[in-house]
Amino acid sequence: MQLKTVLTPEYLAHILGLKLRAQAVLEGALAGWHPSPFHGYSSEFSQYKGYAPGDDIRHLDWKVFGRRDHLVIRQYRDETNASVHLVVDTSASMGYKSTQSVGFSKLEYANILAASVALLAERQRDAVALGYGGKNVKEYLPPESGPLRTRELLRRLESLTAEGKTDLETLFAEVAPRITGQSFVFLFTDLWQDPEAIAAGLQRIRRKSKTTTLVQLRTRDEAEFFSEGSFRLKDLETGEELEVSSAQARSAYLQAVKDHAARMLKECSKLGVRLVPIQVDWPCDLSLRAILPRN
Amino acid sequence: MFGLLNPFALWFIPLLAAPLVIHFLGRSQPTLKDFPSLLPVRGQLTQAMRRHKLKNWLQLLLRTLAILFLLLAAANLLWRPRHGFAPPVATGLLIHNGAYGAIPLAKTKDKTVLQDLEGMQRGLDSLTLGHGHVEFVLPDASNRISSARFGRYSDALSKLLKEAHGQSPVHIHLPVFDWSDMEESRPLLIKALTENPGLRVVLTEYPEASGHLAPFTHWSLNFPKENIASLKTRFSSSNPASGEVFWTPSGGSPRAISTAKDSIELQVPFSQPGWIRGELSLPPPQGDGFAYPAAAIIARIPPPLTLCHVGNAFASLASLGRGGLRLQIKSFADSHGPGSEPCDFLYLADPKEMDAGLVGRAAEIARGGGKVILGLGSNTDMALLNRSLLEPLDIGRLTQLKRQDAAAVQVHAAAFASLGMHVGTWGDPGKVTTHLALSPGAKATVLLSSGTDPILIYCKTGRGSLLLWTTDINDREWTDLGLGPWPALIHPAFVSGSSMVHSGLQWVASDSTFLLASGESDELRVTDETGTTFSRTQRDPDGWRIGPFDHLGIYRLELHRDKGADTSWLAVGLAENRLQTEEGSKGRFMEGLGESRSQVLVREADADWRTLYGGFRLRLPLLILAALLLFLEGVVSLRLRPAPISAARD
Repeated sequence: MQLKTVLTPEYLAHILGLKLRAQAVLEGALAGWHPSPFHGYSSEFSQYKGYAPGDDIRHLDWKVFGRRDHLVIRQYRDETNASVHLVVDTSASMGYKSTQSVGFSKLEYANILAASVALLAERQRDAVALGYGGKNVKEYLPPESGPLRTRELLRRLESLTAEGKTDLETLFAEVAPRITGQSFVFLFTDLWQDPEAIAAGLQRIRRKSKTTTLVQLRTRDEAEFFSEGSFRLKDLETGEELEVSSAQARSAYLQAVKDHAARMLKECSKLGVRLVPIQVDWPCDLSLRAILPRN
Repeated sequence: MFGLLNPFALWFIPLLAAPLVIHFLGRSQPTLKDFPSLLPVRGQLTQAMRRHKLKNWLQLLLRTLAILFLLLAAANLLWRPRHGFAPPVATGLLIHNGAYGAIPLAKTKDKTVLQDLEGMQRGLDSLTLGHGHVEFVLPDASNRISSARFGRYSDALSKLLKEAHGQSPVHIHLPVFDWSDMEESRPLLIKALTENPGLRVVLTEYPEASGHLAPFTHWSLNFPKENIASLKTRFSSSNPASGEVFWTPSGGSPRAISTAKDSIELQVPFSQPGWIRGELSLPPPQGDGFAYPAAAIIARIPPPLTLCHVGNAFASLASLGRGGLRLQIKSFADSHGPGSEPCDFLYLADPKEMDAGLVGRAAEIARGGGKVILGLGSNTDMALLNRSLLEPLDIGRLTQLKRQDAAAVQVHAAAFASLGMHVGTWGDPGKVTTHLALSPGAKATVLLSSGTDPILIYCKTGRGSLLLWTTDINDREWTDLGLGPWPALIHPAFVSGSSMVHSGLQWVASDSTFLLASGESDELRVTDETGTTFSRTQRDPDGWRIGPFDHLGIYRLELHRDKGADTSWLAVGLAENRLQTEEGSKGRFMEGLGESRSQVLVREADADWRTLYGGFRLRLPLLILAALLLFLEGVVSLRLRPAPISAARD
C-alpha cells in the first residue's frame, strides 16, 4: 500500500492527531511533485529588480552591471514576505458528516487540509495566519512563521466546533482587512449561501490577495442526495424542517445544486478566484494537491 | 347474469377502498435527518414535493376509478338512451301456455315480467300458444289471457306486431324455447323492426327447455304396426321406475313396462295383429325437475301410403303431445267420392272444396260408423250443409251468421261427461265473437254454448258420430284450432274411439324426403297449402321422391295414373331431432336480424330482466376505460420513478 496515493479519510481517521494526519497528507501530496509553490525560505534566485535608492546594495548584481551597465537587484524567494492565510468556515453546516460514507465532517476535513497547508508553509518558513468563524470572524491569528506558530495553529484547528449560521459575505469582509502584503488565501467553506452574496465578500479578499483559493467542501449526501427514503430534513443552521421523498426531490435538488455551482463558478471566474470543489470522501492528499496553486 | 341490483354486489363495494388503503398503508413515515443547509434548494424542493403529492393523488384517483370501472363492468351495466327511459306506450307479451310454457320456470318468469310491467304498462295484449293452463292472477292481465287464442308462434307474433304497428315506443316480450322455431318469425320481426324504430323486442330464452316438451304422461297410440319399428321415450330428471309405466292395449288390461336407465322401449310385434292401439302412461313427474319428454316414434321409412286427411294428421300429432306443431288449414279437398275408399275419420276445417260430393262423403262416413269433425267459415254453404248433412242426420239447422262482442262460452260438463270427457281441469274455454246460429236437432247434444247459441254440437249419427263447431274458422279471433285448449283435448278424445283402420298417418321429417310409391308412368303434382306447386320432386326407381321441404304444412300429392288421378296428403312436421335445439340456430337468427340487433335483446330466463331491458351494454366501454386508466396510472408511476444515480453524478 502506498501511503501517498491512498490517504483516504477512512485511513486518516485511524491516525490520531491533526498534525500527524496533516503531515501524512503533506508527505503524500509532495511525493514526486514539483517544489513548493510558495516563496518561502530559500536562497534560490527568484528575479531581477531595478535598483532603487534605499535598496540593499549587497544584492546588486555586479555581473549584470558590468555587462549591461544597469543596476539591478537580485531577489530571492525568501525575500518575497509571502504569508499564507487560512480561513475556515465554522458554521453549523460545516459540521455535517455524510451518512453514506465513513470519514470526516466537512470541518474536520477542512482542518486536515488547512493543517497540511500550514505544515507546508512552515517547511518553507512562510508566515501562516488562521481565521475562523461562521457569521463573523471568531478569532484571527495574524501571520507568523515558525514551529511554535504552527503548533499553536494546529491546536486551534483541532479545537474548532461547527456552530452558528453562515454569513460568508461578512466573514470574508472581516477577514479582508487583515490580509497584508503578498498573501496566499485559502478559504475553506461549503458555500451554502447565495453565490452573489459570497462574491461580495470574496471581492474584498481578492483585492488583498491575488492568489485566493476558494475550497468548496461537500459531502456525498450533498453532492448526490439520498437515493431512497422519505425524510424530514432539518436545516442544521436554521432548524427549519422540510419533508421530502428522496426519489421525487432528488432531481430537483441536483438541478438546484448544479445551478448553484454554475453561479458560483461564474462569480469566481469574474473575480479571478480559484474555486476548487472537494468532496470529503476523496483522498486527502489528492485534495491537497488540488487546492495548492499550480505555479 | 350478475347485476348491480344483486344484493351480493354490495360485498364488492369495499374493493373501491383498496387503493386508498394500499396508498395510506404504503406511505412510509418520514425520518428526521439533519441536512447542512436547505436555503439554496428550498424553493426547488418544495415545488418538487408539491408536484409529487399532486401526482400521488392523481395516481390514487386513477387507480380508484379503474377499480370502479372494473366493478361496473363486472356488474354488466346497461345504458339506456333517453327514449329508453320513457315507459312504452304499449307492451306486448307473448305467453306460451303450451307444452313449453308448462315448464315451471316459464310460468314464474312470465308472471314476474307481467308484474314488473304492470307499473308502466298502458296497454297489454297477450297471446297464448299451445294448450297448457294459464295461472296468472293479475287483474289486468288475467282478463286478456283468459281470452287468448291458440295459434302458431308466427301467427301470434304477427298479430302482436300488427297491433304494435304505429306505436312508439312499444315493447314486446317473447319467450324462446327453441331458436329453430324463431326462424319462421324472423322476416316478420325484421320487417316490424325496420318499419317501427321505437319497437323493442326482448327475447327470453329458456335453455333448459331444450330437448324437452310438455310433461305429458299419457299417450294414445294408434298406428299401423308395420309403420313402427319400436317406440321409445326419453326422459331426464324424472326417471320412472319399472312398474310405474304401463301399456294398455286397446281392449286389454294394463301391463307394466320395464324401464331402462334413460329410456323406455316398447318392442314390436305386439300381440294384436295389424295395428298398435293402446295407451302408454307414466307417473306424474315429481318436483320442479323436468318432466317426461314426448315419445318418439321410430318409424320405418317409407311408411305405407294410406289415405290421410289433414285433421287426422293434426289429431294424431296432438295426441302425441307435440303441442308446438299447428297446421293452418287453407284448403282441403277429398278426391274420394262416396264409396270410393273406406274412411273412418274425416276432419273438414271449412275447406274451399266443400261441395256436394264432399258433404255427401262426410254424411256417408258419419252414418257408416266413422267420425266427422266439421268446422265452419267463409266457405261454408249453409244451405248445402243443412240440406245434405245436418237435417238428414237430425243434427240441426244453420240459420245465420252472428257477430257479437266477445261472449263467454259456457261448458256443459254433464254432456261432456256422458261422452267420457271430464272437463273439470281443462280450464276456461274462452270467448267467442263470430259464429253461425244453429237450431239444434233432436239428436244433437250441446257441449259448448254462447248464451243460447250452440258453439259445439255432438251428434250420434247411426254407427258414427259428428262434432260440429259453429264458430267461424276464418275469423282472426278464431284460429284454425278453436277455443282455448279445448279442441286439442276434445278432438283426440273424440277420435280415439274410432277404429282408425283407414286413417294412417303419413309423416315425414321436414329435412328428409318422402318416397311415394308409384308406377313408372305415373306423373306427380305436389302443391302446398296455398296451391303453389312444389317442384322439389325426383323420380326414383320405386316411385317419386319428394322433398326436402321448405316449410311445415300440408302438401297435396296428386298422382296421375292411367285410370285417373289419385290424391293424398302429406303432413310435413318438424324434423325428428327437433327435440334437440339445433346447433347454431340462435346465432343464425341473431345474425339474420342484422342492424336490428340493438333493438332486440336476448336474455336467459333466470336473468334479471330489468338490467337487460333496452339500451346498450356498457361492459366493453367500461373495460376499455379501466384499461386506459391503468395505462395512465402506469405512465404516472413511471414519471414518479427516482432519477438514476448517474444523473446525480453528472
